[in-house]
Amino acid sequence: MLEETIIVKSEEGLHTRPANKFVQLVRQLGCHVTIRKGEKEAPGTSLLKIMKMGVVRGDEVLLICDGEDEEGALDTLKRFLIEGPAGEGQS
Amino acid sequence: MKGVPASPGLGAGAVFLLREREVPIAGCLSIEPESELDRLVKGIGIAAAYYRKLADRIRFKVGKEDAEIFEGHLELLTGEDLEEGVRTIILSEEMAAETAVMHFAEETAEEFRQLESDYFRQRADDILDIGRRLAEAIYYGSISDPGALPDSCVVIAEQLTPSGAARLDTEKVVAIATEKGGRTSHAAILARSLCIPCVTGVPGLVEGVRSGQLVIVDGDRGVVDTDVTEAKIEEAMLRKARERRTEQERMVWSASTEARTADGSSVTIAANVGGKRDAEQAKRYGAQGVGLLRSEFIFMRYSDFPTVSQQVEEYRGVCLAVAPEHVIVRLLDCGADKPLPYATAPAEDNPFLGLRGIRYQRARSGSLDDQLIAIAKVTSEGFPIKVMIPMVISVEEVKMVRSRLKDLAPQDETMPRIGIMVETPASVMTIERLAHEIDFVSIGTNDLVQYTLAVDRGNPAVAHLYQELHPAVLHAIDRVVKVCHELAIPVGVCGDMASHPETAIALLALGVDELSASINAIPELKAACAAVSRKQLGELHGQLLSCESADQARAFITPLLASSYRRWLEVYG
Repeated sequence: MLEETIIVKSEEGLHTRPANKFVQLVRQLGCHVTIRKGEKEAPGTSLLKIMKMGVVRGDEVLLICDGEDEEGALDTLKRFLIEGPAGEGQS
Repeated sequence: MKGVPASPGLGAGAVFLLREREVPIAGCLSIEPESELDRLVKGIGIAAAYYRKLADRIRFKVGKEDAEIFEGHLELLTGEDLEEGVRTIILSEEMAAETAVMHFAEETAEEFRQLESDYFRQRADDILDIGRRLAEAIYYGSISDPGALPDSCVVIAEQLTPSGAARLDTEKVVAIATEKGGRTSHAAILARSLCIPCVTGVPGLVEGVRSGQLVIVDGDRGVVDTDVTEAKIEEAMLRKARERRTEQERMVWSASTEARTADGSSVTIAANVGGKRDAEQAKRYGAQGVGLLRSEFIFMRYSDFPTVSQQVEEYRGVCLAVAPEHVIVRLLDCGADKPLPYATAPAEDNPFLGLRGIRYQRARSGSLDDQLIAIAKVTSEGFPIKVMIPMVISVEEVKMVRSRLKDLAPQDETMPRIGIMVETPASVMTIERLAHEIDFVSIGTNDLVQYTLAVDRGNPAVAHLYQELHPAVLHAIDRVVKVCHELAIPVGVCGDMASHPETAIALLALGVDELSASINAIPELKAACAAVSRKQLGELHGQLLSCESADQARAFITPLLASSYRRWLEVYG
């Protein structure tokens, strides 16, 4: 199991569109993902629970990856939270 | 019938009633939990197919980003939480499936309303919208699609939800009117972005019209006329056409006439705009740049805070429209009389003394930075775009914006110029200090008059005390101009005072460098300038500062706008 605290820097945080992309991304990964903000926690595959955390840019979240290729998964998701969905970096 | 003017223009046609299919859910108890679970699963399947189709249609018609919103809604609908949550309610409360769905949606919406971020609080409506669609799918076995709208119809609905608005074949819609909602409802935003006339918040509208009857929707005045004949429509259209023709003549005159005083000294007349379309129109009227880009108008056309890249495109569009002239962007100024639908803030007893202007953006993480990044980007592309900070009361606010901009602007690039909107008495009293921190000043007279005289102009009991030519206002402007000119800082005015000939003449007399006016006021301002000489303005300056009332001031100004201006009005007024 790996975990890392990340300051979300992507422009829209986890608004509807990016949060959905995050969920689809987690589904492609082979490991179990949990995301935590303060007291709240959501499985990486649950859009509703992730949105209910209300993650905006500047928030601190804890990413927990557990299972197959957890290192690669953590790295991918970390990049997502810092840079935003691919191809939509800060213009 | 009277409502809220939500999107300008005039539209007439046959009513198309967009009805939500009623789903009876009140206290609907289940007899057979197992069969209710089946109905739920079937309903989700039907609704999911519908959302897939909707996303495809939106992708084709509107664009990828909007389609992705509905893909998100599809995920919410088919994801693990909804089904599990509704299941639990069906089993524990012994409810019918559609009743349980609405319960779940209400509960979830309430959780969203508790969140800190404005954006997420607004998502409560999305969840309710998804819940309603699913309940409909369960109860009817399908989701009604207005499908093919008749050509040139007027869409009338109780309210337009996001999915409701997305389903309309807007090319066939000549106007929209809704019973609920204000200027910032989904219907209003959609109508403004598509330039369809729209009136919202019309009480009794849906009961008051029949499908297929002729109506006229006047989005300028906020009126839905239901007592209509073909002849009346023709007359209304003719009247609009006549107004347009006169306006056309004024525009042509204005575009071909330089803004000069009677003795030939030039005057700068810029325009107040709300986006690219306005800016193009301003150029056609011969405006010398944009003295006020109301960025909240741009924000109002989006259903959520526009991203950096969306903002870059918007600001660049305005700059291109008036190139090579300058563009002054007022940082998002919402709150008080300018609410944004997705920027909910707690209710305030005194919104005009509350969280508005720069205060609002400081309270929100992210939105200020995004705006500054976008403006810096457009600056680095070589456009003369400037930042104006609204509602300033302290030097610290200016320093804060400047340092944010330094952090965010691309390395080694020119920084956009920074100015303030002088609209608080505090900024007038401390203008000596503020002036050292800024590159230009723009006086926002609407609020300056209101705050200086402590008069709410929206209150009929005191509205007569709202006087732009009150000595206190004239002295405040005089003070700002004197101090700024000593430091070679240009002063513009972007409030209503700059849009009316008499008050505009007073501003020129006080030495203001730029008048930024509403677009269709530009012709008469040019005509008014041409009626007075610099010498007369110099004399007027002294006279204005000696007045003890607004009436006295007006008595000095009116004779100056005599014969030549009157003659112009006879032709173009």
